[in-house]
Amino acid sequence: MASIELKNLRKSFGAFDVIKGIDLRIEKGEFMVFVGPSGCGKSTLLRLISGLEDITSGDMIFDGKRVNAVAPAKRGIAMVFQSYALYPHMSVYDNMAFGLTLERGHSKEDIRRRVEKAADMLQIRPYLDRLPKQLSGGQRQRVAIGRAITRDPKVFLFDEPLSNLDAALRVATRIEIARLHADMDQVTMVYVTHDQVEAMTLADRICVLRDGLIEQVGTPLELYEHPASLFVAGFIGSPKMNFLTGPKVEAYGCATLGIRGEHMTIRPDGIWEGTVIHAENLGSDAYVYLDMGEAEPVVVRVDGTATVKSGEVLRVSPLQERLHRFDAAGRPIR
Amino acid sequence: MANQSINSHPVRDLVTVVLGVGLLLILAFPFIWVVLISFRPESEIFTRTFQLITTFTLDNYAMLLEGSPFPTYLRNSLVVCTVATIVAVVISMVTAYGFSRNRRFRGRQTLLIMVIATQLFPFVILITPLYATFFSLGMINNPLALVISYIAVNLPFCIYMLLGYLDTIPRDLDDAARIDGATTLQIIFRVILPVAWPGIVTVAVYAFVSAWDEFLFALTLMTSDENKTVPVGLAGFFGEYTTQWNLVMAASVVSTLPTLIIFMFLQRKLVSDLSAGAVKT
Repeated sequence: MASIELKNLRKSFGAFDVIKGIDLRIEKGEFMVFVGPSGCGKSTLLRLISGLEDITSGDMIFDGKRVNAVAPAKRGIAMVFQSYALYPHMSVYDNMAFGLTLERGHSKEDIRRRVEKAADMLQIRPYLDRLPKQLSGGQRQRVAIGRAITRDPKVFLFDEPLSNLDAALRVATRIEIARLHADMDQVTMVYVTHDQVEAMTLADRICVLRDGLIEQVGTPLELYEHPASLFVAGFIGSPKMNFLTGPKVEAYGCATLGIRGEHMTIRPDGIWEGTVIHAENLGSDAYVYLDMGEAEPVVVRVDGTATVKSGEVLRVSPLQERLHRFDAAGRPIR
Repeated sequence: MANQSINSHPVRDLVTVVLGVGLLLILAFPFIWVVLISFRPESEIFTRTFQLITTFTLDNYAMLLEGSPFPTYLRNSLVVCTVATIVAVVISMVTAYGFSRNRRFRGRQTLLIMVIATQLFPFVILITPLYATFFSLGMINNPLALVISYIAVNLPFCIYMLLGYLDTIPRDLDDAARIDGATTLQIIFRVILPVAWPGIVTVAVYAFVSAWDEFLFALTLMTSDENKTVPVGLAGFFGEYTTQWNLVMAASVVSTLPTLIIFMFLQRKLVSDLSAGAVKT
């Protein structure tokens, strides 16, 4: 169990600044998710925490101790990679035991006990004698997680662990990771993803990154309900928040008006009018894409039983209390 | 027709097979000829060249292995080439790993160009300075001089070949091992080396065969008979007035065996590992 503190952390590759000064505290046992678009520096930040990358300036503090120059293996961390990174020439058992065999002071019996305990947690005991190439993608990722558990880490790092899995497996493994967090509530977890659904469902707190800086840190609901910028508002939530500009928003005293698809209703006396471009029916819900003269189509979520035709003209109204107002700089007006 | 594939062209397939077999015969003919002659009595060597063996004899081999210094040459070659290959592979593995995993260090490009630039010199112009250097060190007729020369000559190409191979191995493996607590040498030899096995085998075979076939350095640096290697010893069978063709043929076959055995032994491993890599995702 460890708390992690990042103090004015910076990382540059040559003249290129990737992390531009980050201050963040991750509490003991917390599940923190770094989320952001490609190139925002989230993976680099994770690698700085792991010790796989050297820090350019600033401090990395684990449990009050500065660990800038401490080797990855000495930080009490374990990491799960997007590519699984299993050693292809070793059996599942050897993959999971490798770290312990390198550490001094573990008897063979102790190693076997720890590997089998982790294997049981993840239901991979039948595969212990197999090579990674004999496993499916989902099983490989479970082995990778098992390898991390075996090391009994204080901090668990995940670098986009679900990105290589298909949709069904992604959901199953996501649930597994959530369960793991519940079982290992003493272990601090840091998770990198570009998928905001993963971020929303797994995180105790989410840290949204953009261009090497923190855009906002907060619980999933805080980010959803009170985004600190236009960027966060557009990034968190699926489908993304609709942004309205121009004459429609003048009455609200802002430059941009944000409203989520689930916070609008179609009604004959609606205050805005739009033409249906396309409707996606997901069974439970349907998403109606309206041309309302904005740069992008406006999405409205309706009941799955509703029938909407392309070309139809509809009127919609927002829930007034769910409107988000932003100034010209993209900051919220509260 | 049900069993025949839609793309099957019997005539074209036949022509391909005939051409292939023809080409194989042309390529293999000198070797087949050498093998056949090596089993003939000396008196029949230049008669009935294209007939199958009528009188089969092992006399040539017996004479080669018992009545000539060839076994000494063979032992010299085996020792020199094996040591040179092992050292070249270990050094090139560590060097290539350094170049492959550290993409940003200052002077990387210059160093790489310098490594390849050493290959620009024809070996002939290196002979004199090399001889002078080893002479001043008192290392003429010392097998170590040959080992050092072979390592130096083979290293640049080995490094480049391994670098290309190591670049295809994901860096995540190194990172995972580093987090598991492995040192850089442990990462190289316990994680990367087994994964890079096909590349290493290729490099090792290249280094061994090029050392095994090398003539110029061996001729210059090993002047006494007991230090000669196979190519130089083989050349010794060609006298000024007579040539012991029976010995030449038997020696040629024997000197091909080590490379043949290496290829056969390692090829199985090479192919199985390459196909294993192909299905990995």
